[in-house]
Amino acid sequence: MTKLTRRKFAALAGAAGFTLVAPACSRNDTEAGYPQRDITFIIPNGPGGNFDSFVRVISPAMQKYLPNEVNIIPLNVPAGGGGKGLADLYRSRPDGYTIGAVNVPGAFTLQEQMGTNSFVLSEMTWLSTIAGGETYAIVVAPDSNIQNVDDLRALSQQRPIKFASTGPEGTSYAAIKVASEILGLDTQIISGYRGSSDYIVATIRGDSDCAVATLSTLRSFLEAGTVRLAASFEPESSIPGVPDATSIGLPELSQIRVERMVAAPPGLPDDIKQVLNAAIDQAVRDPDVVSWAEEVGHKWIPQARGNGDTVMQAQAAFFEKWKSVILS
Amino acid sequence: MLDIWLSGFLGLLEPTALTFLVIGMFVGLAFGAIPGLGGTTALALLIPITYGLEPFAALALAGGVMGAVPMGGSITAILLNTPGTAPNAAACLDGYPLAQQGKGGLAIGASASANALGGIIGTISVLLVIPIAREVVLIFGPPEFFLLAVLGLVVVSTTSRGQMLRSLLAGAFGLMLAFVGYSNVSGVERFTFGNTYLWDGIHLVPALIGLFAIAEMIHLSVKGGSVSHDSKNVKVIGMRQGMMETFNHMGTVVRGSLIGTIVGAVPGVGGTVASFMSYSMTMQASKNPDSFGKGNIQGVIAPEAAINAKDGSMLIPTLAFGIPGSAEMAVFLGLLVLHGMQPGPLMLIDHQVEIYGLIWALTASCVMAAFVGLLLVRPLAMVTLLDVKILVPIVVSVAMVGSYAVDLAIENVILTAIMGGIGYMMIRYDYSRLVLVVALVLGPTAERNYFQSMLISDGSWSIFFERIPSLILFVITISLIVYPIMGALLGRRKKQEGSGASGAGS
Repeated sequence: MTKLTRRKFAALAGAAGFTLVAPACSRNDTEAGYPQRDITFIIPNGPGGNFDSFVRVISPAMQKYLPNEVNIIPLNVPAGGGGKGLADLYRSRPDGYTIGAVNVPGAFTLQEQMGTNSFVLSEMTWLSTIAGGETYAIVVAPDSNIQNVDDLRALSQQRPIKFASTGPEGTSYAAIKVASEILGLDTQIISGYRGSSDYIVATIRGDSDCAVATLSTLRSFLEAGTVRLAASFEPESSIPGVPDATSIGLPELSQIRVERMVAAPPGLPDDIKQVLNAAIDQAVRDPDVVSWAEEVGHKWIPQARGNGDTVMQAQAAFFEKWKSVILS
Repeated sequence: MLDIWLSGFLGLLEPTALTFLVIGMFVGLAFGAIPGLGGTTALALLIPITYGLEPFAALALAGGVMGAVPMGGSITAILLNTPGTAPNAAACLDGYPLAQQGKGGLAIGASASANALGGIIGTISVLLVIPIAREVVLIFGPPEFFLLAVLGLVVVSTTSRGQMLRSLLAGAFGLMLAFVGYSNVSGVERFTFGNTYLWDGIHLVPALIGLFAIAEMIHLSVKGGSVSHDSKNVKVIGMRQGMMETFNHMGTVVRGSLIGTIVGAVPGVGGTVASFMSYSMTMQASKNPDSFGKGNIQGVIAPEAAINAKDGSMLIPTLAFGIPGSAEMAVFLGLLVLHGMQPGPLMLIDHQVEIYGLIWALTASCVMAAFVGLLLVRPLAMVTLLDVKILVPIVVSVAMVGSYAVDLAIENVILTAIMGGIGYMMIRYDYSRLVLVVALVLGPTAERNYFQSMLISDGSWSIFFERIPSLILFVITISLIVYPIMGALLGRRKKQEGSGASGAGS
């Protein structure tokens, strides 16, 4: 056996020391310059789903505005109705190499159902929203007898109003519950439809009296004349002839919004948060992104940089207030 | 109308579009063949590449992928009893026995021509339906979907002759598996044991890989040898023969294509049901139904024709209203949105040229993939001569990796292993895996649509008889149940009369 010479010992010690220190070195990215490698953008939906296109359009734009040239790679994690994606995001290392898209208030309902073993929304790092959130509108079939909210109230006196919706874990379900409470309607929800297009078509077909959907989703249907709006929950209606939350006298309706948040795992360092917020902010105003939004008909209003915390506080307060109604 | 059809076709002939069509075709063929991957994954991976492309080129790529996937899937289904995609599982039932008899080439040849013909017939049907696409989508609501699901279950369970009890047991087990998971009508979790993975229920593709691929590999390992028992026939490739066989059975092709077109247009029911229903109905219409499952070429032609026909008609609800008929369509929707085309009622008005271009791309890819499949028949059929000791480890590893790749969840692999064990038991004791699969696929659809129908009608069953389409479906279902019973009763009476007469005469 060869003797353990001093030189060999020093080499071994150096190697051991290096392996202990090296991981800490890689965490010190802000000194080296974040980002140093590709960033994963988790989408808790299947490909082609609601949030999917947003992320896929934003990602290449964000890449342009990061300090270093890296790729942002969208990763679909649809399992568990989106719960697994959120759980994966929550448990990832807060090093800026994993971010995720979160649909609120749907995520709150999911959290209630899955328990806080999986993820805790209040602990996550909230970056920004992707453009402004959207309010809802009540949509009816073109030949429906329902013209406005008064008709709905009158009908509600005779029998429960049928709304078509996706499942209880979704945002439209929560929106219907809260809106019914505010408007004072007796409603019955026909749930389980497979997406907003599915339940809008259900309303046209006559399965239900009405449904709620965002104006972006409804644009194509409205322009083709296949649906009509009974009311819009906007503070000021963007469609002539359709009553809005203010004219109905219930401005609270405009607080029912769906927001598209970008989030990171709990404990993300501030400087990395700044870099990401700047990239998102500039991406949202990028001409390619804006023209895409226009082509597809999304209402695209860039918001203040890094508005994640403010929006989430409002959303959390909203959910807390209406929790018992939504979960009933 | 004709000039738009022509514009769509000519748009494809441009070099960029044509290049992407061919690339998509090869990608679809490869992804279709590898179990667990398939069109959904291929499209999802290609979406970022299409980002800078013109919409037409992107659609050519998508059409190329979607048209070729079924052909790729049928190759592994036939040669290795491993369905490349879920709908291809039906081709395993007779395709694999044919491969075992050394007729793998014949089967692939038949599959290729069935693919091509089915695709063409499907395209023609879709072109005829598109003008009334919206009306078609509006006809089918929850009551109709429920009855369609029940019809599907009845069709497959009544076609397993002499094994009615075992089929019913297999179907019941399939239904039990189908109800695991979160129900989004009631908002209740069932049998998930608090596990996030089971929230989505029993994942179909990993379960199928286990039931067919792994089970067969276990079976082979126990048996030993190679897939094909007869090496002589493998050399004498029946490629041309296989192609011709399809023309001998044009009735089967047309029937399969029509079933594929109709079932494909119904969102959520999908390709798996289309192919299995086509298989079952062909078996029922056949003069010797007992030959099915043992290497009847019609058992390959029927499902393969249906699968390609369904590709075109799945576009109907997707394009008319933005309702994706399957996971693949959902990804395709995302691709459309990325390129500024919002599916919905306006799509059929504003983007007609692109839509027809897509349909042409689908058809062209389908036919091209069939040709490529035919060219590769000779080397591919050699796989069946491989010894089990080489084949099994390769297939099991590829299958497991494919199973994992579907959702990037290791639980998929565990599920595949468990279903593999169950599948092997079913092979040993002769229980129908076909019925289990159809029950697994249709169970959730049937349940969800039943509850929705009850919510719509306030609990009254009359909703199933009020609308003409559901009434028609109801009558068809009842007659499918009654007809075989009547036939058996009449047959028995004839036999009694016959033996009574001869007894009296002797």
